[in-house]
Amino acid sequence: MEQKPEKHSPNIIDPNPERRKLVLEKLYALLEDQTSLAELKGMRREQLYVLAEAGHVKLKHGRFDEAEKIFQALILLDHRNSYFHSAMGSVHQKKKKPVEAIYEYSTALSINAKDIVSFVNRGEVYLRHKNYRRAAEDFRNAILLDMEGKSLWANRARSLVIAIKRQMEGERRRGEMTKKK
Amino acid sequence: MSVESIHAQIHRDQPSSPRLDNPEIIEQLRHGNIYEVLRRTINAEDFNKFISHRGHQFENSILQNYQVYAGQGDVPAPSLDSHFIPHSAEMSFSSGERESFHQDMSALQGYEPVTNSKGEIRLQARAVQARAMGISAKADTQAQPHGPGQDVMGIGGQAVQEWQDFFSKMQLKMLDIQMFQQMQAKAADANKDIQRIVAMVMSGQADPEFVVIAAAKAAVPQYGVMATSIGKKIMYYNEDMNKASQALLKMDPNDKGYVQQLQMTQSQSRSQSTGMQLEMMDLQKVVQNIGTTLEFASTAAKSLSQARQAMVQAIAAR
Repeated sequence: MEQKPEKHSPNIIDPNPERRKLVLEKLYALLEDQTSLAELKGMRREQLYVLAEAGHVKLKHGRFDEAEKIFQALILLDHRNSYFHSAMGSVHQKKKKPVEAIYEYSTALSINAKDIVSFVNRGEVYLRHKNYRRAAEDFRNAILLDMEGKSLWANRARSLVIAIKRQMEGERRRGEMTKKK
Repeated sequence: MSVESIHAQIHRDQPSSPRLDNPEIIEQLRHGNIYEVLRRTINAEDFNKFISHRGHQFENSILQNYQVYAGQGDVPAPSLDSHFIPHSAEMSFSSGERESFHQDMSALQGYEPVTNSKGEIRLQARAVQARAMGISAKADTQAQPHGPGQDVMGIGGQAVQEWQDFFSKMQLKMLDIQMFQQMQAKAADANKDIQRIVAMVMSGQADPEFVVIAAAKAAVPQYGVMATSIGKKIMYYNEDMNKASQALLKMDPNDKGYVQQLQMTQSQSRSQSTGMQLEMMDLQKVVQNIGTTLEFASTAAKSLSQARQAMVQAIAAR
C-alpha cells in the first residue's frame, strides 16, 4: 500500500513586532531566573511532581542512574526548584561524587536558605572529608531551623554533631598521648 | 562553634486521660471502694486512652520502632504543596509564540523545522549538512527555507532577480541607442563639413582631394562610435560574467542550490562568450572598414593628385 505524502500545513507567521517583543521578554525572564523552561512550555506542577516522585522512588531503591536522569531532566525543566537540586545532590552523594553533591546542595541552598535536608547532607559530605568547621556550621544551621526536633534530618544533624565532638575529642586525646610518649 | 542550642527531645507522646492522672481519684482508689469509684468516675474510654498513652511511652523510651534520624544522603519524598510553587500561566508560550521561537532558534542553529499534519513541530537536519556528511538525505526535496519573513525574502529575491535580468537587457538596448545618437550627431557634423568643403571645392577655393578626405573624416568617426559601442558591450559582457562567477564564489559548495547555480552560470557564460565573440567580429569588421575607408581616401587622393599632375604635365607639354 502506497503511503500518501505528508501534507504540510502552511506556516503563517505573524511578523507583529509586539508579539516578538513579548517572546523576547519571556526569554529574558528565563535568562534572569525569573521563570523556568517548564513554565514557558506550559507544564503544570503536577506533571513535575509525578516525575519527581518517580525519581525519588528510584533513588530510595538504589537505582541511582535512573534517578540521576530523571532529576537532570527536572533540573533542566525547572532549575529554580530547590528540591530537584537537593535530590540531585543526594544522587551524587550516593554515587560517591562529593564535589558534584556539594555543588548541588549549595545550589539548593542558594534557592531556599531554609532547606534543612541540603544543610545536613552537605554537612555530612564535609564531615566525611574531615572539614569539621564547615560541617558543624551546616549542622548548626539545620538544627536551628528545627528547634522542636521534628525533622528527621535535623535529628541526624544532632547525632552527627555528637559524632563530630567525639571524633575531635578522640583526635585531641591521641595527640596528647603521642606528646606524652 | 556553638552547639548548645541543640534540643534532642522528640515529642511523640500523647496526653493521657486527665481523670486517671488526677491525684484525688488515685487517693479514692487507694482507700475507697474501687468498684464504686470506677463506676462513678472512669469509663472504658479512659482505660483505652491510658493504655494507649503507656504504650506510646514504652515505644518512645524503649522500643523506638519508628525512624528518628534520616539516613545518609536521604531526601524526603516530594510534596506538591511545599516543594512546587504554582506556575504562572502568563509566562507560558502560546502555540504561535512557541512555533515562532522554535523556527527562529532553528534558523540560528542551522536546522529547519517541519510542521507535520498534526501541527507538531519536529526538527529536520538541514539537507546540506547531511549531504556534507555523506548521508543520503531523503528530505532534500522538502528542505525549503522556512521561518518568519522567509516568504517576504523570497519575493524580494525574485524581484531583484527580475530587475537584474531587465537591467542587463536594457543595458544592451541603451548602448545601441547611445551609439545611434552619437552616430547621428557625428554624421550631422560630418555632413556640414562635407557640404562646406564641397562648396569650397566647387568655388575653386580648395582642391578636390579635400572632398575625399572630408568624406573619410565623416565616415571614420562613425566607425569609431561603433567601435566604442562594441567595446562597451564587450565590457558589459565581461562584467556580467564576473558578477556571475563572484555570486557563485559566495555560495557554499555544499549548499543545495549550488549545483543549480553552477549550471545556470555556465549556461550564462556560454551565451555571453558567444555574444562576446560576435561583438569581437563586429569590432574587427569596423576596424577593417576604417582601414578600407582610410585606404580608399588615400588612394583616391593619390589618384586625384596623379590625375591633376598628369593634367598639369599635359598642359605644360603643349
